Amino acid sequence: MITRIIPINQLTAFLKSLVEDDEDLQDLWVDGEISNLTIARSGHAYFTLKDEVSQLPAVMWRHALTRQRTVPREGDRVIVHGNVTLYQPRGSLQLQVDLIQPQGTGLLQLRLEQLRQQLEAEGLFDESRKRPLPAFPRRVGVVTSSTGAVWHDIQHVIAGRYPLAELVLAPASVQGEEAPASIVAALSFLQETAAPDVIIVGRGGGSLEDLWAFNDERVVRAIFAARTPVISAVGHETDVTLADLVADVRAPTPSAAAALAVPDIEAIDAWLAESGLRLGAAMDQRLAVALQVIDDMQQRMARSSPAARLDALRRELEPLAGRMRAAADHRLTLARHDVDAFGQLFEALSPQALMCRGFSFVCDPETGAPIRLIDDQLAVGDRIRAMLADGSILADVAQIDRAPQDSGA
Amino acid sequence: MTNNVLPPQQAEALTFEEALERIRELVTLLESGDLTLEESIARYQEGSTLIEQCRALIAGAELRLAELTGEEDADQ
Repeated sequence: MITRIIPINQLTAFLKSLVEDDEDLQDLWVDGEISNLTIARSGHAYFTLKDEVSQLPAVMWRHALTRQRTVPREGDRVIVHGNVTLYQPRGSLQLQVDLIQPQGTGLLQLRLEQLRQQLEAEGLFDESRKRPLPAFPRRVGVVTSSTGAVWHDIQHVIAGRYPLAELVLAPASVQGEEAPASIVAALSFLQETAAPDVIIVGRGGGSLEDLWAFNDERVVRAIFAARTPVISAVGHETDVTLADLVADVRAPTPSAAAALAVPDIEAIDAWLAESGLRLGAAMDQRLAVALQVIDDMQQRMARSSPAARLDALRRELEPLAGRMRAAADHRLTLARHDVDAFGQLFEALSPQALMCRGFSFVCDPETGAPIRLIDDQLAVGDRIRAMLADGSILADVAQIDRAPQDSGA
Repeated sequence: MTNNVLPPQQAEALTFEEALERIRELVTLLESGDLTLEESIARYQEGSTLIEQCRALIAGAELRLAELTGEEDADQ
């Protein structure tokens, strides 16, 4: 009996809801082989997942494909995670895949990879949200087992490197069923009661199962939500846990985490010594500048002092005085020459000189009075003295001859 | 504010890392050579005092340990 006629799109919509609301068709892990793989220009991957007897179309959207650590290839034997949907335009069922892992991967690892991709998509592992560690933490919080070697190692390293810090342990169970809840509780208790500047969360090495608490979503989200930077120290070189990925800094071992958490006191000590030297050098420099200013002032003051004035005057005066002295000397020399000339003239006029030239000087022998003229007192028979160049003679006047010129006088 | 000279009692109230930061500032200031002589001397004295205090703090430091209780204790 026909109760009503429905359009095909109503039927496919009904089928779609039937398929997509069925919990048994969601969150599936399916094992198969990839064939007919095409990656469209849009970035979505379309392929068929098949085994020997059956096949199902599958699609992996671009955002899921880009999160894949390994790109799927034709013929790969894989385990995919996803859910069944109905593509209405074709009315076909398809597997919508969000994770492809190689076949042989354990279920634990499949779940881990799935969670990793999910948290990565949420941005929990973004480099941009990693916080820098404080340079000089006053309080270092540690979340780990109180009985293991981890706590001991951390104490040892921090005591040696930076004893200025206070080290606070929030004990947690790091292995087993209750570990995730214990770690989350310790993290929150630590932050509420101790307010550390940096937190180390960790445990020693172990198998993937031993480390499982550090892959637990609750733990990862608690680390993400921490108010202070977190260093993960899950002692395992090869397996990187999700806690490592979400932590602000990942350390390979608890000792390494402790070394990353605090600065080295010896380096600080050296820095302090260097700072002291630099302060001293800068101060010396400043004092040298001040002294130079004072020196300059002193020199300028000295240049304008009265003593300097006098010196300058003296320097001005000296050449003048010299010139004066030279002029006087010159004048004296000239005078001396004049005197010499006169002396010669004088000498030429002396009686002695005359006598040398053959003249003689006649005088009265009694009085020494010169006899210049016959008329003065001479008569024949008078005694006279004649002075010659080398002596004198007494002579008697034998004859008088008057010069004709004189007769007229 | 950083250019002011801290009074001694305030200098003592600095935490270790604040003191280190202040020393760094003082060295930079003094090395810039832009200070008056009085300022330089004051900064130099402040810096020297802080360095002494930091070294004394380092010399006397012992790691303080605390274990939070009130939580169920751990296993291995």
